[in-house]
Amino acid sequence: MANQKTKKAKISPVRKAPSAPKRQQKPTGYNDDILLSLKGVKKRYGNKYGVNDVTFDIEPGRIVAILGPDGSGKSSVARMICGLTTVSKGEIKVCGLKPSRKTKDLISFLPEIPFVNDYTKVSTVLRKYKAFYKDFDAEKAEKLIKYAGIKLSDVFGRMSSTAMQKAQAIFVMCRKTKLYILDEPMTHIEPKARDFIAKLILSNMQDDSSVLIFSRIPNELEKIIDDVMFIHRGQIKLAGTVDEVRAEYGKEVSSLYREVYKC
Amino acid sequence: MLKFLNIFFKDFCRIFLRSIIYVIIAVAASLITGYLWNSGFASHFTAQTAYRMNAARYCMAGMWVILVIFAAVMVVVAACQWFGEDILTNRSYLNHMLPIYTWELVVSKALAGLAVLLCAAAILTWDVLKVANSISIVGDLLAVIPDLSKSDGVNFDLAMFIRLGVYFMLMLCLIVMSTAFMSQTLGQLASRGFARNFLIFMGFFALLFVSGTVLLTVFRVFGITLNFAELNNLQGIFDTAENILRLISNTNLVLSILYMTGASLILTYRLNV
Repeated sequence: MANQKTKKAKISPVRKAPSAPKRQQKPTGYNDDILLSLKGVKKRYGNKYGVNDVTFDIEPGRIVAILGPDGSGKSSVARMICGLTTVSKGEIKVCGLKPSRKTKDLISFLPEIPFVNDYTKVSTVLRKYKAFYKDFDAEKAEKLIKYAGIKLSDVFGRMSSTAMQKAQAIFVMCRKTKLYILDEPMTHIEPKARDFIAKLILSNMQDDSSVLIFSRIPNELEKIIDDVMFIHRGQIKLAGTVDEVRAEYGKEVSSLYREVYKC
Repeated sequence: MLKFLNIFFKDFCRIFLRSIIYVIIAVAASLITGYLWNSGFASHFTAQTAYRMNAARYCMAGMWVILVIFAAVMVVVAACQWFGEDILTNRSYLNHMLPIYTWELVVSKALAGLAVLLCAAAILTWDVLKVANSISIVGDLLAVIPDLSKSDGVNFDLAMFIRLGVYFMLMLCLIVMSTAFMSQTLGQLASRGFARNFLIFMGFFALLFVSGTVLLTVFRVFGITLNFAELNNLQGIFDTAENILRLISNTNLVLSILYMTGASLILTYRLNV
Protein backbone atom coordinates (compact mmCIF):
# COMPACT_ATOMS: atom_id res chain seq x y z
CA MET A 1 0.00 0.00 0.00
CA ALA A 2 2.87 2.35 0.87
CA ASN A 3 4.42 1.93 -2.58
CA GLN A 4 1.16 2.33 -4.30
CA LYS A 5 1.14 5.21 -6.69
CA THR A 6 -1.37 7.82 -5.52
CA LYS A 7 -2.89 10.59 -7.52
CA LYS A 8 -5.01 13.51 -6.34
CA ALA A 9 -8.66 12.91 -7.15
CA LYS A 10 -9.76 15.00 -10.03
CA ILE A 11 -13.17 14.89 -11.60
CA SER A 12 -12.83 14.64 -15.33
CA PRO A 13 -15.75 14.69 -17.74
CA VAL A 14 -15.72 11.20 -19.11
CA ARG A 15 -18.91 10.61 -21.02
CA LYS A 16 -18.11 7.32 -22.69
CA ALA A 17 -19.55 4.10 -21.47
CA PRO A 18 -17.39 1.81 -19.37
CA SER A 19 -15.28 -0.12 -21.86
CA ALA A 20 -13.93 -2.95 -19.76
CA PRO A 21 -14.01 -6.50 -21.08
CA LYS A 22 -17.30 -8.23 -20.48
CA ARG A 23 -17.60 -10.50 -17.50
CA GLN A 24 -20.25 -12.67 -19.06
CA GLN A 25 -20.83 -14.07 -22.49
CA LYS A 26 -22.57 -11.98 -25.15
CA PRO A 27 -26.33 -11.74 -24.90
CA THR A 28 -28.66 -12.63 -27.69
CA GLY A 29 -31.89 -11.14 -28.89
CA TYR A 30 -31.09 -7.49 -29.44
CA ASN A 31 -28.70 -5.37 -31.45
CA ASP A 32 -25.43 -3.68 -30.60
CA ASP A 33 -24.98 -5.44 -27.29
CA ILE A 34 -26.34 -2.38 -25.56
CA LEU A 35 -28.89 -2.98 -22.85
CA LEU A 36 -29.42 0.60 -21.81
CA SER A 37 -28.51 3.73 -23.68
CA LEU A 38 -28.84 7.34 -22.54
CA LYS A 39 -27.98 10.13 -24.98
CA GLY A 40 -27.89 13.77 -23.87
CA VAL A 41 -30.64 13.19 -21.33
CA LYS A 42 -31.90 16.26 -19.50
CA LYS A 43 -34.57 16.71 -16.87
CA ARG A 44 -35.84 20.17 -16.11
CA TYR A 45 -37.44 21.20 -12.80
CA GLY A 46 -38.73 24.74 -13.19
CA ASN A 47 -35.75 26.86 -14.22
CA LYS A 48 -33.14 24.33 -13.19
CA TYR A 49 -31.87 21.15 -14.79
CA GLY A 50 -31.91 18.32 -12.27
CA VAL A 51 -30.24 16.12 -14.87
CA ASN A 52 -28.08 17.85 -17.46
CA ASP A 53 -26.79 16.07 -20.54
CA VAL A 54 -26.26 12.57 -19.20
CA THR A 55 -24.88 10.09 -21.70
CA PHE A 56 -23.83 6.51 -21.09
CA ASP A 57 -24.39 2.96 -22.31
CA ILE A 58 -24.71 -0.19 -20.24
CA GLU A 59 -23.74 -3.54 -21.69
CA PRO A 60 -25.24 -6.84 -20.54
CA GLY A 61 -23.63 -8.71 -17.69
CA ARG A 62 -22.42 -5.66 -15.80
CA ILE A 63 -23.08 -4.31 -12.33
CA VAL A 64 -22.81 -0.54 -12.57
CA ALA A 65 -22.95 1.95 -9.72
CA ILE A 66 -23.85 5.58 -10.21
CA LEU A 67 -22.64 7.42 -7.14
CA GLY A 68 -23.43 10.92 -6.03
CA PRO A 69 -24.67 12.99 -3.10
CA ASP A 70 -28.26 14.05 -2.44
CA GLY A 71 -29.71 16.20 -5.19
CA SER A 72 -27.20 15.12 -7.80
CA GLY A 73 -29.91 13.70 -10.07
CA LYS A 74 -29.57 9.97 -9.39
CA SER A 75 -33.22 9.24 -8.66
CA SER A 76 -34.34 11.38 -11.57
CA VAL A 77 -32.19 9.34 -13.94
CA ALA A 78 -33.57 6.11 -12.44
CA ARG A 79 -37.17 7.29 -12.77
CA MET A 80 -36.64 8.45 -16.35
CA ILE A 81 -35.19 5.07 -17.33
CA CYS A 82 -38.20 3.35 -15.77
CA GLY A 83 -40.62 5.73 -17.49
CA LEU A 84 -41.91 7.07 -14.18
CA THR A 85 -41.17 10.61 -15.22
CA THR A 86 -40.77 12.15 -18.65
CA VAL A 87 -37.47 13.15 -20.24
CA SER A 88 -37.15 16.89 -20.95
CA LYS A 89 -34.54 16.38 -23.64
CA GLY A 90 -32.44 13.54 -25.03
CA GLU A 91 -33.12 9.89 -25.59
CA ILE A 92 -33.34 6.79 -23.44
CA LYS A 93 -33.46 3.31 -24.90
CA VAL A 94 -33.84 0.02 -23.08
CA CYS A 95 -32.94 -2.88 -25.39
CA GLY A 96 -33.54 -0.48 -28.27
CA LEU A 97 -36.98 0.59 -27.03
CA LYS A 98 -38.09 3.90 -25.60
CA PRO A 99 -39.51 3.65 -22.05
CA SER A 100 -43.04 2.33 -22.51
CA ARG A 101 -45.29 -0.54 -21.50
CA LYS A 102 -42.97 -2.97 -23.32
CA THR A 103 -39.89 -1.87 -21.39
CA LYS A 104 -41.68 -2.48 -18.09
CA ASP A 105 -41.29 -6.18 -18.83
CA LEU A 106 -37.54 -5.66 -19.19
CA ILE A 107 -36.91 -3.55 -16.08
CA SER A 108 -37.16 -4.48 -12.42
CA PHE A 109 -37.09 -1.33 -10.30
CA LEU A 110 -36.33 -0.90 -6.61
CA PRO A 111 -37.07 2.65 -5.50
CA GLU A 112 -35.51 4.34 -2.47
CA ILE A 113 -38.90 4.83 -0.85
CA PRO A 114 -41.63 2.21 -0.33
CA PHE A 115 -43.26 1.47 -3.68
CA VAL A 116 -46.66 0.67 -2.17
CA ASN A 117 -49.03 2.24 0.33
CA ASP A 118 -48.41 1.80 4.05
CA TYR A 119 -51.37 -0.53 4.55
CA THR A 120 -50.33 -3.00 1.84
CA LYS A 121 -49.41 -6.49 3.03
CA VAL A 122 -46.31 -8.36 1.87
CA SER A 123 -48.59 -11.17 0.61
CA THR A 124 -50.52 -8.66 -1.52
CA VAL A 125 -47.35 -7.53 -3.26
CA LEU A 126 -46.30 -11.16 -3.72
CA ARG A 127 -49.64 -11.95 -5.40
CA LYS A 128 -49.36 -8.86 -7.57
CA TYR A 129 -45.87 -9.80 -8.77
CA LYS A 130 -47.03 -13.36 -9.40
CA ALA A 131 -50.06 -12.20 -11.37
CA PHE A 132 -48.37 -9.61 -13.55
CA TYR A 133 -44.81 -10.81 -14.15
CA LYS A 134 -44.29 -14.08 -15.95
CA ASP A 135 -40.60 -13.98 -15.06
CA PHE A 136 -41.23 -13.76 -11.32
CA ASP A 137 -40.08 -16.71 -9.21
CA ALA A 138 -42.75 -16.67 -6.48
CA GLU A 139 -41.50 -19.76 -4.65
CA LYS A 140 -38.01 -18.37 -4.36
CA ALA A 141 -39.36 -15.00 -3.22
CA GLU A 142 -41.48 -16.64 -0.53
CA LYS A 143 -38.51 -18.65 0.73
CA LEU A 144 -36.29 -15.57 0.81
CA ILE A 145 -38.93 -13.54 2.63
CA LYS A 146 -39.17 -16.21 5.32
CA TYR A 147 -35.37 -16.44 5.45
CA ALA A 148 -35.19 -12.66 5.96
CA GLY A 149 -37.49 -13.00 8.98
CA ILE A 150 -40.44 -11.25 7.34
CA LYS A 151 -43.98 -12.56 7.62
CA LEU A 152 -46.30 -12.58 4.61
CA SER A 153 -48.97 -10.96 6.78
CA ASP A 154 -46.71 -8.02 7.67
CA VAL A 155 -47.93 -4.61 6.58
CA PHE A 156 -45.41 -2.32 4.88
CA GLY A 157 -46.29 0.69 7.03
CA ARG A 158 -45.48 -1.18 10.24
CA MET A 159 -42.21 -2.72 9.10
CA SER A 160 -38.77 -1.36 9.94
CA SER A 161 -36.98 0.39 7.10
CA THR A 162 -34.51 -2.50 6.92
CA ALA A 163 -37.23 -5.16 6.68
CA MET A 164 -39.13 -3.09 4.12
CA GLN A 165 -36.07 -2.60 1.93
CA LYS A 166 -35.21 -6.30 2.21
CA ALA A 167 -38.73 -7.30 1.17
CA GLN A 168 -38.75 -4.90 -1.77
CA ALA A 169 -35.28 -6.02 -2.88
CA ILE A 170 -36.41 -9.66 -2.77
CA PHE A 171 -39.41 -8.93 -5.00
CA VAL A 172 -37.29 -6.96 -7.44
CA MET A 173 -34.43 -9.46 -7.64
CA CYS A 174 -36.67 -12.54 -7.92
CA ARG A 175 -37.62 -11.48 -11.42
CA LYS A 176 -35.60 -12.92 -14.29
CA THR A 177 -35.34 -9.80 -16.34
CA LYS A 178 -32.83 -7.82 -18.41
CA LEU A 179 -32.23 -4.75 -16.33
CA TYR A 180 -32.37 -4.28 -12.57
CA ILE A 181 -32.46 -0.69 -11.39
CA LEU A 182 -31.84 -0.25 -7.69
CA ASP A 183 -32.15 3.22 -6.19
CA GLU A 184 -30.33 3.48 -2.85
CA PRO A 185 -30.68 -0.22 -2.03
CA MET A 186 -28.35 0.01 0.97
CA THR A 187 -28.92 3.49 2.34
CA HIS A 188 -31.57 3.25 5.03
CA ILE A 189 -30.69 -0.20 6.33
CA GLU A 190 -28.43 -1.72 8.93
CA PRO A 191 -24.95 -3.05 7.93
CA LYS A 192 -25.91 -6.74 8.24
CA ALA A 193 -28.79 -6.25 5.84
CA ARG A 194 -26.44 -4.61 3.33
CA ASP A 195 -24.57 -7.91 3.00
CA PHE A 196 -27.90 -9.67 2.53
CA ILE A 197 -28.82 -7.34 -0.34
CA ALA A 198 -25.34 -7.62 -1.90
CA LYS A 199 -25.67 -11.42 -1.87
CA LEU A 200 -29.20 -11.13 -3.21
CA ILE A 201 -27.98 -9.09 -6.18
CA LEU A 202 -25.11 -11.41 -7.00
CA SER A 203 -27.09 -14.63 -6.64
CA ASN A 204 -30.18 -13.56 -8.55
CA MET A 205 -28.72 -11.55 -11.41
CA GLN A 206 -29.11 -13.28 -14.77
CA ASP A 207 -26.14 -13.93 -17.09
CA ASP A 208 -27.44 -11.60 -19.79
CA SER A 209 -28.79 -8.94 -17.50
CA SER A 210 -27.29 -5.87 -15.88
CA VAL A 211 -27.74 -4.16 -12.56
CA LEU A 212 -27.68 -0.39 -12.31
CA ILE A 213 -27.30 0.82 -8.74
CA PHE A 214 -27.80 4.44 -7.72
CA SER A 215 -26.31 5.23 -4.34
CA ARG A 216 -24.63 7.75 -2.08
CA ILE A 217 -22.95 5.05 0.02
CA PRO A 218 -20.23 3.32 -2.02
CA ASN A 219 -18.60 1.21 0.74
CA GLU A 220 -20.54 -2.04 0.49
CA LEU A 221 -21.13 -1.64 -3.22
CA GLU A 222 -17.49 -1.59 -4.15
CA LYS A 223 -17.21 -5.33 -3.51
CA ILE A 224 -19.81 -6.20 -6.10
CA ILE A 225 -19.71 -3.58 -8.86
CA ASP A 226 -17.84 -3.77 -12.16
CA ASP A 227 -18.21 -0.18 -13.31
CA VAL A 228 -18.65 3.11 -11.54
CA MET A 229 -19.85 6.58 -12.48
CA PHE A 230 -19.81 9.74 -10.38
CA ILE A 231 -22.71 12.09 -10.91
CA HIS A 232 -22.63 15.69 -9.75
CA ARG A 233 -25.25 18.40 -10.31
CA GLY A 234 -26.93 16.30 -12.92
CA GLN A 235 -23.82 15.50 -14.93
CA ILE A 236 -21.66 12.40 -15.18
CA LYS A 237 -18.22 13.55 -14.08
CA LEU A 238 -16.32 10.30 -14.02
CA ALA A 239 -16.89 6.89 -15.55
CA GLY A 240 -14.87 3.71 -15.82
CA THR A 241 -14.42 0.25 -14.50
CA VAL A 242 -13.63 -0.12 -10.82
CA ASP A 243 -10.18 -1.45 -11.71
CA GLU A 244 -9.50 1.47 -14.04
CA VAL A 245 -10.53 3.99 -11.39
CA ARG A 246 -8.40 2.28 -8.75
CA ALA A 247 -5.40 2.17 -11.11
CA GLU A 248 -5.78 5.78 -12.24
CA TYR A 249 -6.34 7.36 -8.84
CA GLY A 250 -4.46 4.86 -6.70
CA LYS A 251 -7.25 4.43 -4.19
CA GLU A 252 -10.47 2.63 -3.54
CA VAL A 253 -13.66 3.99 -5.08
CA SER A 254 -15.12 4.74 -1.64
CA SER A 255 -12.02 6.76 -0.67
CA LEU A 256 -12.14 8.61 -3.95
CA TYR A 257 -15.85 9.31 -3.44
CA ARG A 258 -15.21 10.73 0.03
CA GLU A 259 -12.41 12.91 -1.34
CA VAL A 260 -14.38 14.20 -4.30
CA TYR A 261 -17.56 14.92 -2.39
CA LYS A 262 -15.78 16.03 0.81
CA CYS A 263 -17.63 13.58 3.04
CA MET B 1 -57.48 -8.59 -20.82
CA LEU B 2 -56.61 -10.93 -17.96
CA LYS B 3 -54.23 -8.36 -16.52
CA PHE B 4 -56.90 -5.67 -16.80
CA LEU B 5 -59.43 -7.86 -14.98
CA ASN B 6 -56.83 -8.57 -12.33
CA ILE B 7 -56.11 -4.88 -11.68
CA PHE B 8 -59.86 -4.14 -11.80
CA PHE B 9 -60.56 -6.81 -9.17
CA LYS B 10 -57.83 -5.46 -6.90
CA ASP B 11 -59.14 -1.91 -7.27
CA PHE B 12 -62.69 -3.09 -6.64
CA CYS B 13 -61.68 -4.85 -3.41
CA ARG B 14 -59.71 -1.85 -2.19
CA ILE B 15 -62.47 0.70 -2.90
CA PHE B 16 -65.11 -1.66 -1.49
CA LEU B 17 -63.16 -2.10 1.74
CA ARG B 18 -62.66 1.63 2.04
CA SER B 19 -66.27 2.60 1.50
CA ILE B 20 -68.17 -0.33 2.99
CA ILE B 21 -67.99 1.26 6.45
CA TYR B 22 -70.28 4.10 5.31
CA VAL B 23 -72.79 1.63 3.86
CA ILE B 24 -72.68 -0.35 7.10
CA ILE B 25 -73.35 2.84 9.08
CA ALA B 26 -76.36 3.64 6.86
CA VAL B 27 -77.73 0.10 7.14
CA ALA B 28 -77.16 -0.07 10.89
CA ALA B 29 -78.89 3.27 11.45
CA SER B 30 -81.96 2.24 9.51
CA LEU B 31 -82.13 -1.20 11.15
CA ILE B 32 -82.00 0.42 14.59
CA THR B 33 -84.74 2.82 13.50
CA GLY B 34 -86.91 -0.04 12.24
CA TYR B 35 -86.35 -1.98 15.46
CA LEU B 36 -87.35 1.00 17.58
CA TRP B 37 -90.47 1.54 15.45
CA ASN B 38 -91.56 -2.07 15.71
CA SER B 39 -90.95 -2.24 19.43
CA GLY B 40 -93.74 0.12 20.33
CA PHE B 41 -92.43 3.50 19.25
CA ALA B 42 -95.65 4.16 17.28
CA SER B 43 -97.83 3.31 20.29
CA HIS B 44 -96.59 6.43 22.07
CA PHE B 45 -98.67 8.56 19.74
CA THR B 46 -102.37 9.19 20.10
CA ALA B 47 -104.82 10.46 17.51
CA GLN B 48 -104.21 14.00 18.79
CA THR B 49 -100.46 13.68 18.42
CA ALA B 50 -100.48 11.81 15.11
CA TYR B 51 -98.86 14.79 13.40
CA ARG B 52 -95.81 14.21 15.62
CA MET B 53 -95.63 10.63 14.39
CA ASN B 54 -95.76 11.84 10.78
CA ALA B 55 -93.08 14.42 11.54
CA ALA B 56 -90.91 11.64 12.99
CA ARG B 57 -91.50 9.55 9.87
CA TYR B 58 -90.43 12.36 7.59
CA CYS B 59 -87.37 13.04 9.73
CA MET B 60 -86.40 9.38 9.46
CA ALA B 61 -87.00 9.35 5.73
CA GLY B 62 -84.84 12.46 5.45
CA MET B 63 -82.13 10.81 7.52
CA TRP B 64 -82.12 7.77 5.24
CA VAL B 65 -81.89 9.91 2.15
CA ILE B 66 -78.96 11.80 3.66
CA LEU B 67 -77.23 8.57 4.68
CA VAL B 68 -77.80 6.98 1.28
CA ILE B 69 -76.42 10.06 -0.50
CA PHE B 70 -73.56 10.22 2.01
CA ALA B 71 -72.67 6.56 1.37
CA ALA B 72 -72.80 7.09 -2.42
CA VAL B 73 -70.65 10.22 -2.15
CA MET B 74 -68.13 8.39 0.01
CA VAL B 75 -67.81 5.63 -2.60
CA VAL B 76 -67.01 8.27 -5.23
CA VAL B 77 -64.61 10.01 -2.84
CA ALA B 78 -62.92 6.67 -2.04
CA ALA B 79 -62.51 5.98 -5.76
CA CYS B 80 -60.98 9.43 -6.33
CA GLN B 81 -58.68 9.11 -3.30
CA TRP B 82 -57.60 5.67 -4.43
CA PHE B 83 -56.84 7.09 -7.86
CA GLY B 84 -54.67 9.83 -6.33
CA GLU B 85 -52.78 7.51 -3.99
CA ASP B 86 -52.37 4.66 -6.42
CA ILE B 87 -51.50 6.61 -9.55
CA LEU B 88 -50.21 10.04 -8.72
CA THR B 89 -48.07 9.75 -5.58
CA ASN B 90 -44.59 8.31 -5.26
CA ARG B 91 -46.13 5.28 -3.52
CA SER B 92 -47.50 4.29 -6.92
CA TYR B 93 -44.22 3.11 -8.45
CA LEU B 94 -45.24 -0.54 -8.31
CA ASN B 95 -48.44 0.14 -10.26
CA HIS B 96 -46.66 2.20 -12.88
CA MET B 97 -44.05 -0.52 -13.31
CA LEU B 98 -46.68 -3.20 -13.97
CA PRO B 99 -46.68 -4.28 -17.63
CA ILE B 100 -50.08 -2.75 -18.40
CA TYR B 101 -51.20 0.36 -20.27
CA THR B 102 -51.81 3.57 -18.35
CA TRP B 103 -55.40 3.76 -19.60
CA GLU B 104 -56.03 0.38 -17.98
CA LEU B 105 -54.97 1.81 -14.61
CA VAL B 106 -57.31 4.81 -15.06
CA VAL B 107 -60.32 2.91 -16.41
CA SER B 108 -60.06 0.09 -13.86
CA LYS B 109 -60.35 2.64 -11.04
CA ALA B 110 -63.38 4.34 -12.58
CA LEU B 111 -65.14 1.04 -13.27
CA ALA B 112 -64.25 -0.33 -9.85
CA GLY B 113 -65.73 2.82 -8.28
CA LEU B 114 -68.94 2.38 -10.27
CA ALA B 115 -69.17 -1.32 -9.46
CA VAL B 116 -68.76 -0.61 -5.74
CA LEU B 117 -71.39 2.10 -6.06
CA LEU B 118 -73.81 -0.40 -7.62
CA CYS B 119 -73.16 -2.86 -4.78
CA ALA B 120 -73.68 -0.10 -2.21
CA ALA B 121 -76.89 0.98 -4.00
CA ALA B 122 -78.18 -2.61 -3.96
CA ILE B 123 -77.48 -2.98 -0.24
CA LEU B 124 -79.01 0.41 0.56
CA THR B 125 -82.11 -0.27 -1.57
CA TRP B 126 -82.68 -3.53 0.26
CA ASP B 127 -82.11 -1.69 3.52
CA VAL B 128 -84.52 1.14 2.71
CA LEU B 129 -87.24 -1.23 1.47
CA LYS B 130 -86.85 -3.43 4.53
CA VAL B 131 -87.24 -0.49 6.87
CA ALA B 132 -89.92 1.00 4.66
CA ASN B 133 -92.04 -2.04 5.51
CA SER B 134 -91.66 -1.15 9.16
CA ILE B 135 -92.86 2.44 8.94
CA SER B 136 -94.52 2.25 5.52
CA ILE B 137 -93.56 5.78 4.46
CA VAL B 138 -91.45 4.79 1.44
CA GLY B 139 -94.06 2.21 0.48
CA ASP B 140 -96.73 4.88 0.55
CA LEU B 141 -94.66 7.13 -1.64
CA LEU B 142 -93.90 4.35 -4.14
CA ALA B 143 -97.55 3.35 -4.24
CA VAL B 144 -98.42 6.76 -5.65
CA ILE B 145 -96.24 6.29 -8.73
CA PRO B 146 -98.16 3.44 -10.45
CA ASP B 147 -101.36 5.48 -9.95
CA LEU B 148 -99.89 8.13 -12.20
CA SER B 149 -99.80 5.72 -15.15
CA LYS B 150 -103.49 5.04 -14.67
CA SER B 151 -104.35 8.67 -15.37
CA ASP B 152 -106.29 9.19 -18.55
CA GLY B 153 -104.21 9.60 -21.70
CA VAL B 154 -100.84 9.45 -19.91
CA ASN B 155 -98.19 7.14 -21.32
CA PHE B 156 -95.86 6.35 -18.42
CA ASP B 157 -93.51 3.37 -18.15
CA LEU B 158 -92.34 2.99 -14.55
CA ALA B 159 -89.75 0.28 -15.30
CA MET B 160 -88.20 2.45 -18.01
CA PHE B 161 -88.06 5.41 -15.64
CA ILE B 162 -86.33 3.33 -12.96
CA ARG B 163 -83.78 2.08 -15.51
CA LEU B 164 -83.21 5.60 -16.75
CA GLY B 165 -82.89 6.87 -13.17
CA VAL B 166 -80.23 4.27 -12.33
CA TYR B 167 -78.37 5.05 -15.59
CA PHE B 168 -78.57 8.78 -14.83
CA MET B 169 -77.20 8.36 -11.29
CA LEU B 170 -74.38 6.12 -12.47
CA MET B 171 -73.37 8.53 -15.23
CA LEU B 172 -73.52 11.41 -12.74
CA CYS B 173 -71.10 9.54 -10.48
CA LEU B 174 -68.91 8.62 -13.45
CA ILE B 175 -68.65 12.24 -14.62
CA VAL B 176 -67.77 13.42 -11.09
CA MET B 177 -65.17 10.66 -10.80
CA SER B 178 -63.63 11.26 -14.22
CA THR B 179 -63.60 15.04 -13.66
CA ALA B 180 -61.74 14.47 -10.38
CA PHE B 181 -59.36 12.00 -12.11
CA MET B 182 -58.65 14.49 -14.88
CA SER B 183 -58.11 17.47 -12.56
CA GLN B 184 -55.88 15.40 -10.24
CA THR B 185 -53.87 14.34 -13.28
CA LEU B 186 -53.58 17.95 -14.42
CA GLY B 187 -52.25 18.81 -10.95
CA GLN B 188 -49.67 16.06 -11.36
CA LEU B 189 -48.09 18.13 -14.15
CA ALA B 190 -47.10 20.80 -11.63
CA SER B 191 -44.16 19.82 -9.50
CA ARG B 192 -45.42 20.07 -5.90
CA GLY B 193 -47.21 22.17 -3.34
CA PHE B 194 -49.37 25.18 -4.05
CA ALA B 195 -49.07 25.04 -7.85
CA ARG B 196 -50.26 21.46 -7.83
CA ASN B 197 -53.28 22.11 -5.59
CA PHE B 198 -54.16 25.25 -7.52
CA LEU B 199 -54.07 23.35 -10.81
CA ILE B 200 -56.27 20.58 -9.36
CA PHE B 201 -58.76 23.13 -8.00
CA MET B 202 -58.92 25.23 -11.17
CA GLY B 203 -58.92 22.13 -13.36
CA PHE B 204 -61.93 20.68 -11.53
CA PHE B 205 -64.04 23.81 -11.92
CA ALA B 206 -62.89 24.40 -15.50
CA LEU B 207 -63.96 20.86 -16.39
CA LEU B 208 -67.30 21.31 -14.66
CA PHE B 209 -67.79 24.51 -16.69
CA VAL B 210 -66.89 22.62 -19.88
CA SER B 211 -69.35 19.86 -18.95
CA GLY B 212 -72.12 22.39 -18.34
CA THR B 213 -71.43 24.19 -21.61
CA VAL B 214 -71.44 20.94 -23.56
CA LEU B 215 -74.73 19.94 -21.89
CA LEU B 216 -76.36 23.24 -22.80
CA THR B 217 -75.11 22.92 -26.39
CA VAL B 218 -76.48 19.40 -26.63
CA PHE B 219 -79.81 20.59 -25.22
CA ARG B 220 -80.00 23.35 -27.82
CA VAL B 221 -79.07 20.99 -30.66
CA PHE B 222 -81.79 18.54 -29.60
CA GLY B 223 -84.32 21.35 -29.16
CA ILE B 224 -84.86 20.89 -25.46
CA THR B 225 -85.49 24.19 -23.68
CA LEU B 226 -87.00 24.94 -20.34
CA ASN B 227 -90.33 25.92 -21.81
CA PHE B 228 -92.76 25.92 -18.93
CA ALA B 229 -95.68 26.07 -21.34
CA GLU B 230 -94.98 22.44 -22.28
CA LEU B 231 -95.02 21.44 -18.65
CA ASN B 232 -98.64 22.24 -18.03
CA ASN B 233 -99.76 18.63 -18.28
CA LEU B 234 -98.53 15.36 -16.81
CA GLN B 235 -97.51 13.84 -20.14
CA GLY B 236 -95.43 16.93 -21.00
CA ILE B 237 -93.59 16.71 -17.67
CA PHE B 238 -92.84 13.00 -18.14
CA ASP B 239 -91.61 13.43 -21.71
CA THR B 240 -89.39 16.39 -20.88
CA ALA B 241 -87.98 14.64 -17.81
CA GLU B 242 -87.25 11.51 -19.87
CA ASN B 243 -85.49 13.48 -22.60
CA ILE B 244 -83.44 15.51 -20.14
CA LEU B 245 -82.39 12.43 -18.13
CA ARG B 246 -81.38 10.56 -21.27
CA LEU B 247 -79.46 13.45 -22.81
CA ILE B 248 -77.62 14.36 -19.60
CA SER B 249 -76.69 10.71 -19.05
CA ASN B 250 -75.44 10.17 -22.60
CA THR B 251 -73.51 13.45 -22.59
CA ASN B 252 -71.96 12.58 -19.23
CA LEU B 253 -70.91 9.19 -20.58
CA VAL B 254 -69.20 10.77 -23.61
CA LEU B 255 -67.54 13.46 -21.48
CA SER B 256 -66.36 10.87 -18.93
CA ILE B 257 -64.74 8.81 -21.69
CA LEU B 258 -63.07 11.98 -22.99
CA TYR B 259 -61.79 12.95 -19.52
CA MET B 260 -60.47 9.46 -18.83
CA THR B 261 -58.76 9.41 -22.22
CA GLY B 262 -57.28 12.82 -21.40
CA ALA B 263 -56.02 11.61 -18.02
CA SER B 264 -54.53 8.49 -19.64
CA LEU B 265 -52.79 10.54 -22.35
CA ILE B 266 -51.35 13.02 -19.85
CA LEU B 267 -50.08 10.19 -17.67
CA THR B 268 -48.62 8.36 -20.66
CA TYR B 269 -46.77 11.34 -22.11
CA ARG B 270 -46.23 13.64 -19.11
CA LEU B 271 -45.95 11.26 -16.18
CA ASN B 272 -44.33 12.99 -13.20
CA VAL B 273 -44.30 10.84 -10.08
